[in-house]
Amino acid sequence: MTRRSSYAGRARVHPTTLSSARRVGYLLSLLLVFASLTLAVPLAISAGYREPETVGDFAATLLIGVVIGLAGYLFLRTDLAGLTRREGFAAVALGWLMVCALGSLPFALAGGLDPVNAWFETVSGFSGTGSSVIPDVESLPKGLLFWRSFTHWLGGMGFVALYIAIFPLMGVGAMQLFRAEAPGLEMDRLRPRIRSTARILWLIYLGMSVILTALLMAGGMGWFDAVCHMFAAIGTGGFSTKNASVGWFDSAYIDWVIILFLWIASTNFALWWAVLGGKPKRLLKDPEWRFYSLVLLGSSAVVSALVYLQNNVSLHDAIRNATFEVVSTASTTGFATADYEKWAPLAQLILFLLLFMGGSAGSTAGAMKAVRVYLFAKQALRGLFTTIHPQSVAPVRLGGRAVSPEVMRGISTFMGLYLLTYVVAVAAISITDIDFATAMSAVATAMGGVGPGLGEIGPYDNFLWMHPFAKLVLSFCMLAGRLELFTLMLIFVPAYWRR
Amino acid sequence: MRIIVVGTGDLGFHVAKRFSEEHHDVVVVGRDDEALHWAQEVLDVSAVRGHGGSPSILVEAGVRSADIVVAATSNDETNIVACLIAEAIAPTATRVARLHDPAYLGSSGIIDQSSLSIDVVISPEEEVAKAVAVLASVPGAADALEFAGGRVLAVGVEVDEDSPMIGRTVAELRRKDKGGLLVAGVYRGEVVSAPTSDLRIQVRDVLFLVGGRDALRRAMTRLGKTWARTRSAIIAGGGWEGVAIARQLAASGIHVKIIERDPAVCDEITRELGDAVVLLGDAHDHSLLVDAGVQRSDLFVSALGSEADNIVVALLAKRLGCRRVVSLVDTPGQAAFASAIGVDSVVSPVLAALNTIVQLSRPGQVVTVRTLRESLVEGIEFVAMEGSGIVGLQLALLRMPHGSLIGAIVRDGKAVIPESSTVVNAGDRVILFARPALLPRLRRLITAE
Repeated sequence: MTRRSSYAGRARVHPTTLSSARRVGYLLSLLLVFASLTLAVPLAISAGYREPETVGDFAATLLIGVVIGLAGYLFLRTDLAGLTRREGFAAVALGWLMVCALGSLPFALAGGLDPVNAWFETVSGFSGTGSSVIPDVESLPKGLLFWRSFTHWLGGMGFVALYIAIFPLMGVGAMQLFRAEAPGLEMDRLRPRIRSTARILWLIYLGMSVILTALLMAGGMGWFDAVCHMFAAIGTGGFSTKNASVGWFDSAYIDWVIILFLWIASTNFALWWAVLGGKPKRLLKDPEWRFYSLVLLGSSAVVSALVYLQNNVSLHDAIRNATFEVVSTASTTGFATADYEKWAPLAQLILFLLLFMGGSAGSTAGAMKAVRVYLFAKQALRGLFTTIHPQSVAPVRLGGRAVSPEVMRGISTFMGLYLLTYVVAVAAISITDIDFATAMSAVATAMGGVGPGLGEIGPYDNFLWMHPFAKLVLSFCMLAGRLELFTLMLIFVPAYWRR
Repeated sequence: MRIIVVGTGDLGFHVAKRFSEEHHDVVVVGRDDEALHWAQEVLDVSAVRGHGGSPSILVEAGVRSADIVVAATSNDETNIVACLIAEAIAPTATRVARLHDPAYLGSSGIIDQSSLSIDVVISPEEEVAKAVAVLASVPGAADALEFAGGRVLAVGVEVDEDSPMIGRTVAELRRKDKGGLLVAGVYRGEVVSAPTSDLRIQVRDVLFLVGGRDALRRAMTRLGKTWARTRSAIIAGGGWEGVAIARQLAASGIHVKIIERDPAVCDEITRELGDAVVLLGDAHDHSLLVDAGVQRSDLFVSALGSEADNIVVALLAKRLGCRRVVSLVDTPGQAAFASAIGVDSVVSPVLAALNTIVQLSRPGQVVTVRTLRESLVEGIEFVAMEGSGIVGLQLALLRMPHGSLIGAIVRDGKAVIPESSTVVNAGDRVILFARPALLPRLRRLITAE
């Protein structure tokens, strides 16, 4: 006798494509409402500076976002428990695209940019890149200028992480979202639960922001410039409120303060949490931090020497400008105080290579991340060793601990994908008649989230002249780089959508 | 609450899962990289790699601020050491240890568990043995849970094709037992719902009934189930679980046979269990099962080392004519699958043990926590306290969230199925059923805050 038990049907209900799409849609609606509300900040600034037209543009954008978001919220309302990894990736990738689209509206409305330029500027902001298509930023309305810098700050730590920190969301679901957005190999849990972790990270972020703003104001910056430069520095973005970037202020104090904070913001936040918890040794012993800091010091020393020897400036100015450019590039910020295109070729090459490395995992910096470069190099050297001693058992170590083969494989995959994307994107934008050095550095600076490059896009140039196709390719590179390739690229892989 | 779980095996994983789903801070400690990685992949928990008996590892896991430490490795000694160390570092934490070997638990009375710094001992073997014994005492039920020392039972009963109640209403099923029987839920298709009294019963519905033993017997007879006492049982597998089940069943007067293929283990079992018949051989063996009398047996329990074997052997016994087969399965997906292909009941040692641990995190005076299949429904037995939300109001006025209900009240030693006008007094034992997700909202009923 065969008998079907009625428990059969109660076996876990498999997520169908429909309910999956609904969950993602619901999450997107929540994110949209949340992102729209952040527009209230530049709106208030605009109102404070008495820019009625800009206020109207922000209000319109805010209204559009909230209405669409609320509609989605009401129609798609569903249970988010058991959000899958796949859905988490989709929600974060689509969420970023959506928020960038929303964020570009004020640029189109108040800034008079065409859609492609508005999109490029916004993506550049949220991804913490800082490449601009606006030649004269000083002529922009204050509210819009503020929004431009504010996107760095929101995108730097990640607005999905901010959302998780503020609003209750089911545990595992929040984890999937957090992971899809956060940079690094594996997330460092500061607390057992992801929501508490996200909160602590945002608190550290907020703390840094307040301190930097105070220090900049102490150096003579007005509050508006101080806050905007703080956004760009802590979010390692690079937009400035001045056409001449940080160089406009021409203050050694401001330069050094920014250097210090770029270095802080591009160091793993988990380490700062340990330092705050009374364990400074964790910072000093951290292999990634040591490697990153060593690269910064070494590069600064070499570039300083080159600048001093070749460019007829005082020693202090050489060190100050060289260190600023090195740290600004390595931390993937892209502020400028000097035109490094007038420097020696070797100095330019060092800066070019730094476009790829980026800061530490678990910070706001972009690009490949120091720890990946470090481990990748170690693995390559070990390959030499095992060729001589095929029988040797010697795993790649990170600070005394063996790195598991899966993690190493993940790093190799990432590096491979990064370089592949780089080559394809360089080829793609070269179609539009961009010269070699410009194309090579444009893609590197976009993927790394740095900002300026070499050739036609140096620290005092902009991206306005580029063909719209090249701008779209570069904005894709910025987003892909910020979301560590996989999150954004997965949604373009057909297998991802196959059931 | 901060909960530290030592051990990443089945039990450790499920403890971590359950607590993290209830929004507690969970830290998992273990030595198996892959298991730790997996736990972090699918659960909102953090992980520390290392030996659970090491003070520095426990401190790294945050034992100083822990509320509960669960030592759930497969090694008894490690678990005991973990509890000893946890007590030395954090004396206020509740310490739970899993112990397999009855030798440690012992009834010798020489020392008690608190000498080993253990507050609560959990033994999946003992828990599952109790669960099987309850199941054996309710013939025809797919699930059976016991509350208030057996005065209240909650059972899941499937409606067979030949049931005389098909097409009749729930009210008709209750007719003769108005006061003593509650039809608490109906599983139909994928939906669990609270039935209205005019709902018509269909083939393959699973009715979730609550009541005393007599009321249940009458209801199940009306549903067409034969209520025949379980007299004989065959247990496949003579491991810890098998032996614990055999001991428990024998204690309730059931004649037990155990099949075990390791001669040395057989030897041990005969010494431990005086009155059981021990058969040497492989439970997959057709002729051995026939010789053991599986076709005349009332109950067959497969308690072998692997879940897949447990399902296959139980199906084999079913095919050979055994009336009722039970498999021990821990993985939820596998359990649903086993039910689907014809295993009458599935019990999970891990989930059974989990209930004892979960009980610790429940507010108020919770006596028992039991879960029905895959933790879809949790049954909580608690003592109603003066000042708690449940006391002094008619049940209809309590505004219980949808998906929860009061199943029974035990007053003066007698079980009562409540009606909407019933009022709970302080001191009553209340048995409440709810989806686990609703528990935070039910807190006001259970505690006097």
